[in-house]
Amino acid sequence: MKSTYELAVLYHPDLEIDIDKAEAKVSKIITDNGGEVTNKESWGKRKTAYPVKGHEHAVYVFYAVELEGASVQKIESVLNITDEVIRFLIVKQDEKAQSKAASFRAKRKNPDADEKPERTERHSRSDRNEEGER
Amino acid sequence: MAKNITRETTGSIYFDYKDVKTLQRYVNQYGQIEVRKRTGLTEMQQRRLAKAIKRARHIALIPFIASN
Repeated sequence: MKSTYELAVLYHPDLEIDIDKAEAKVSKIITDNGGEVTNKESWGKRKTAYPVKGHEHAVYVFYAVELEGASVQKIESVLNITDEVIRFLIVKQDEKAQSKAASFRAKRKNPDADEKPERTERHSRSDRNEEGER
Repeated sequence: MAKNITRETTGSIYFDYKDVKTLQRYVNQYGQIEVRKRTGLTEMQQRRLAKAIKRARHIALIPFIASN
């Protein structure tokens, strides 16, 4: 059975110019292991909170991947020896908690309406006073 | 700083490890995760928060130890 995983990849900062090549390599790793990239989110080059393998910066890309549970370990072992990738993280998406939180926020914003799966921004909430923010 | 950072004592909230802005509200100036007494979260929420913070630390979005 396939489930949705989130894959966060930190690419080598020098690869920012031709990131496509490195991304193609990672996509190939995923597809070779029976996975499928359903969504991609690029943050670009960003300063890391601490040096990662001696680099102060990294190119952040997040993927939503449909994966077979058994192939996660295989992908991890390949990514570990990929030079372009300096750090990565594969986690299963907690869809239950996500949708529950989203519907709760929607309900709280609009108590009369029925459950809405649409995501509401935290900071646009009117019921929260300013003192509670920090 | 107010004692209770949030008052999300009912319902569920989901913490995304990519949401740096939110996670940063729940760590102190040294980058440590705040205790439940201060965050005002439920047990389940605090566990999810801790997990999200640890994931964010792993991909270097927030520091393990903040040095200001």
